[in-house]
Amino acid sequence: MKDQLITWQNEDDAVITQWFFTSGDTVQEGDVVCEVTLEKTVVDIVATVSGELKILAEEDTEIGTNDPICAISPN
Amino acid sequence: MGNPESRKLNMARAISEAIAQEMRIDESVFCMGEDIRYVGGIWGHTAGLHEEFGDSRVIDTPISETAFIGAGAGAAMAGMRPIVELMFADFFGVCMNSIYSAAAKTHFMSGGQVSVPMVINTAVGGGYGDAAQHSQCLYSTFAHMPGLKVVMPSNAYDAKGLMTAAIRDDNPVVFMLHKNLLGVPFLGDERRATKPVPRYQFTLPLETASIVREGNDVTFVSIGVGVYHCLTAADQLAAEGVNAEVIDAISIAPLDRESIAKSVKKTGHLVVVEDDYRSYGFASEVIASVTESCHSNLKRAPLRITYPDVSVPFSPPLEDYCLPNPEKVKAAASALLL
Amino acid sequence: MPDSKPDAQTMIWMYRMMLTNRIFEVKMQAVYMEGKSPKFDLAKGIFPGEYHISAGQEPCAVGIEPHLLEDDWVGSTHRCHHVAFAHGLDGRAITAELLGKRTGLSGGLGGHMHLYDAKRRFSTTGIIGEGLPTACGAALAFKMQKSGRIAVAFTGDGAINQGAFHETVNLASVWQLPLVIVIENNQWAVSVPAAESTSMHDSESRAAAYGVAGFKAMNNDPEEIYALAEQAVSLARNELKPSILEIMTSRLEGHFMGDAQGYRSEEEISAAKANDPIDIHRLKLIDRSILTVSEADLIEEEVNAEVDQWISDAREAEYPEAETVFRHVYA
Repeated sequence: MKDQLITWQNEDDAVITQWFFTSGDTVQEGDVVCEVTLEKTVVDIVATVSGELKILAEEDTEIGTNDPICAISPN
Repeated sequence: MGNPESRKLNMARAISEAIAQEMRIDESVFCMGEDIRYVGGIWGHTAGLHEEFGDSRVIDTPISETAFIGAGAGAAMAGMRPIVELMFADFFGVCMNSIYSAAAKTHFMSGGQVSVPMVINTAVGGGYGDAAQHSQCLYSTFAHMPGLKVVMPSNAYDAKGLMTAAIRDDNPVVFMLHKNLLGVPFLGDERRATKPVPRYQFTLPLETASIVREGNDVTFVSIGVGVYHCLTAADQLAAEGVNAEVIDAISIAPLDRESIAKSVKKTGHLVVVEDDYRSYGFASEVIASVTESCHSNLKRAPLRITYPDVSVPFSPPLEDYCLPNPEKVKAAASALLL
Repeated sequence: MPDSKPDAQTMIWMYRMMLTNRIFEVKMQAVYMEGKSPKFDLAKGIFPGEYHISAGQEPCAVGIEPHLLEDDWVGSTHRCHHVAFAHGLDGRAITAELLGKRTGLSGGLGGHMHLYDAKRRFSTTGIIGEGLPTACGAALAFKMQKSGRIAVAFTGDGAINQGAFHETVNLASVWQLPLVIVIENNQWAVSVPAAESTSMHDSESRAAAYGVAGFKAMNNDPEEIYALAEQAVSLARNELKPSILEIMTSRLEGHFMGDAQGYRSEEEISAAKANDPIDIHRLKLIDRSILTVSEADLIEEEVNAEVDQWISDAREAEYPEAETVFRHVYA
């Protein structure tokens, strides 16, 4: 199964405020991998599959629509 | 290769996970408070609970602290294990009888017949412009009441273990959430409280302090955000050849006097750091305790870095002036070791 | 007593005051948000902390103020700017206080939830219900002093479930004090709707339970509020009888700046904004030929310029010195 790419799917720009894993960690499907903050809302980014995480946008990075957040290599 | 158990949580999430896991196995546990349903709690620490457990176990209350906190005590006496929330510790004034009498004194006054197994969550701390009535700490106000346990974790790992322990404890436990450390984005950038937290349930003892940094030259005792001021100061002092031991007291009441005394016997120097008002406080109690038990080990009189005896000012530079910080801690240590 | 109506001058004053609050709140929102983007961090920017916007509730203040005399007491809450402006507090000093500057009402010590003007006997508090017993005490003092003055305490739909509300109304009633309690019912206590927090919604019955008169204004309309407030104020001032005046009003924004209001439906929020009381009042003034369109526009221009000046003065003002914190602990 190929890598799952998670991108920011919202029309508003946001900033990655906290990662709860580091690259190389194993995540489980359903884990909140990081939180992204819009002006007034915190959005949880959730792992869509279990596998090895690769962070593509670090903390404090601003992201726009379709910008990559992370990839997960299913195991 | 990453560690499969390296999942991190911030403190708010660690607390909600602890509560959710306990609620799954113990039907007597339920939550009551203002805005804990849809908002997941103003501080995010009850997020997800209403979605999982519904209206019957995650209950939004009217603005009636006396009634619902008192009701929490009563429900606890009648066999439940409520987790009730006093949104800001500053609000204690409107309902203190429910806490310091109904909750705290019942076990004693009944000669041990009646227990009040409840958790009272409450948020403390300032430094973000919330002014006199929403920025207080009030550690000693709660700690002063016999019958109450008062704990404050300084990181997510401790928070999960302590919350599980607090729910299972048969006493009323005031569980303080330091706003600077919860990890919610609207309350600042402190990341050091975010830690790897096991996915499984675990408990930590409620009455025990933690040595978070070992050293031989000076003992720093603190709680909450003060722990991080001490750690920062300790790093700076290490560069100058001074090694500080940093103790996170964790339990404000009962105080882990033994751990503190043991450290002071080793180092001979004590600095206590907290962000509550100076007089009649946590720092006062630590110093009194050390004086009683091991004053002959002290090479100099202890110092305390605290908030001054003034209400919290709104104006940002004034609030900054009042707050403890690493520079003040380092200066105190340097003064002791001159 | 026949329903009295505000005269044309009062109607114009009401418009100017409501606009002052609204334009202030809109401009100050932008000031508040400076530094709080992309991450909304309460500590950042020149206006830190919490900010509770009173947009939509302006009629509550302007409907009551015309009946007040100098030395009457007014107590308000965390959502207080509209009351402060209507009561005549200095806009420049309010603005400076919100930015924590030396020229603020409290020299920067209080902040947005703690606005005080001793000369005008105006105070606010951030603790729900705290202002009720205090206002009751002012009413007690006025009765003892035989001064013919009254106390008005603003409070909210959430606060009526605090013990202090119950105790205050009973005390004012049993002691027959010149107190008017104004419930600004915007239907929301942060995220909890009034329907889910309060058992007794009929304020006339609620008031009767305490042996006091109850009034209810339904339409967030300054004229309606004016008429009812006149009765409540007269009872207090002339007969030393307390009363409760409930006003169904509208919180156009969230509980505080930063509240995404996920618990409130889009339809409800749009409906509230579509019924903006200031727009409705302006239409009345024009329909009744009290103001022409260009006169109304001119007032808006003047208010805009005035608020801009307050904000620029506040930005330039200095912060208080650090040692100020030690100066006002004791008198």
